[in-house]
Amino acid sequence: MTKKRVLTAAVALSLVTTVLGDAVGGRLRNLVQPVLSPLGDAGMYLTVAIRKNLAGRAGGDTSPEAVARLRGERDQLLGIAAYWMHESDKRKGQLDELLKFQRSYGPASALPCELIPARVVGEPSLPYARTRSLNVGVADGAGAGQVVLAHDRSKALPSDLAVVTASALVGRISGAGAFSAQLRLVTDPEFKTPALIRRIVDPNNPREIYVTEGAASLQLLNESNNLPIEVQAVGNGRGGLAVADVWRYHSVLPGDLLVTREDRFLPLEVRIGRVSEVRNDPDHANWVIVTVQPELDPAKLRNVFIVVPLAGGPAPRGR
Amino acid sequence: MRWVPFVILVYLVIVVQTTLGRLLTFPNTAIGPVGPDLAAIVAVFLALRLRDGVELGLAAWVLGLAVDLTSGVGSEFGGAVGPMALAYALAAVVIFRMREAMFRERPVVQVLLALIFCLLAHGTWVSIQTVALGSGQRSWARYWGTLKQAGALAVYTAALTPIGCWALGKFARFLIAVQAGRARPSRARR
Repeated sequence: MTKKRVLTAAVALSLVTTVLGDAVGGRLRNLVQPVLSPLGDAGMYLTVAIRKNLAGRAGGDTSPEAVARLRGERDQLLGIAAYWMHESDKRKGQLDELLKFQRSYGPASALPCELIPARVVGEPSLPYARTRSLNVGVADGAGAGQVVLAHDRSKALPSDLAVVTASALVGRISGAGAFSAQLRLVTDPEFKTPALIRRIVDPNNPREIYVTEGAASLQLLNESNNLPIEVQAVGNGRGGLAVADVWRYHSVLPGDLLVTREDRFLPLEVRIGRVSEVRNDPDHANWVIVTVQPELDPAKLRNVFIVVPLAGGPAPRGR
Repeated sequence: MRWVPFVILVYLVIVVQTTLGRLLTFPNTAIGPVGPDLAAIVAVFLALRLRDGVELGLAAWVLGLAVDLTSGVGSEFGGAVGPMALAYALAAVVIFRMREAMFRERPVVQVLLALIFCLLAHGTWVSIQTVALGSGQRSWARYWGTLKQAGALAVYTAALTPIGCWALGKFARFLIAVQAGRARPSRARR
């Protein structure tokens, strides 16, 4: 076959796959990802290490006063930490005793989901998508004595599963193959999630909220009237999330927390980020638009857990 | 063209582009993340060096396909595999036609050709993927926004191209059997 024919066949093949669209495209991408994973894993290790190092150096311009203050705070915190470590060890002993008792006589209880540890092994080659490739073929972190539920790793993972680190939601699985999965970050414009805004009660910075329960009135925010605000959070594509249609009278302020609302994919409340900006909605005088900074910098993302609900979750399906 | 070293190079370039290469990305600009397309630099380098246009078309198609397969885009962006392979092949042929009128060793020429290559390839890719979107997701604002991002990517990639061409030039003999250019008189004859 001449080179010209090969090129013609290649172009024709591209046309066909272009017309077939995402259905074929997703499958082909999942086939290729495991080929890139071995070197990609090492590459991402270096990338994340360099990013963390650069971020550390960027913070080196702190003033001497700030350094002294931080050192004082650190010493104070070290003292507090030592006290709590001691207390923690004491409680741990008591807890072990109680757990032994509970295992023997108490009802069975478990987290209603399985956590699959995974690693980020690649970023997209083009900057148009905010996704990550995950290596979910290796399950680690299980220790002796733990309850481990069987999970067939040769099966594809379902879409829309939540992806978290130990402390925060970082995105959802947008598509998955047998040995790789695509993680859509919370900052991706296509990312949407039901969420709650939890306002921080700060005695030094009191705020008035309009309470609509019972006789409507203006009240100072306190622990008893601080109900979470149900919202829909959307990735803004510029490193944050946007929450629109929030009533002005809720008095949301920078520093408040955005957390997940329990749904069938994530039966837990996990932190998503912190409110960084509140601005007026140009189209509606009574609403504000809230910008949220994610809890974790996606650039430094390396180890994550995929949350698989044990009951009531979606049926596994690949691409 | 030596195809085995070329395939290894494509693999390495894509691994670098999806990992270490992302260190060069500006993640939070007003128009969205802006990063270089390293595969485009390889394509421009080949477009300046190869003698055979068909070989160049094939090589660019392979590079484009590799980018397509690792682009990370899903159904929200059309998600098809193939548009970038087509766009790369098309852009490489355009550069191949243009190169004869220029001094290809000059960095300014490399920058200019890389800019044209990226604008053509990424402009075509964005257009095809937008057309492939469902009517509910398609909008001029979104198309224009992504085009601006593609334009910034083109400028950034073009700025890095002379460095890339210089580095690839060190390995040119492993990649290209017979290089383009006019025959020079040997030292002995001179």
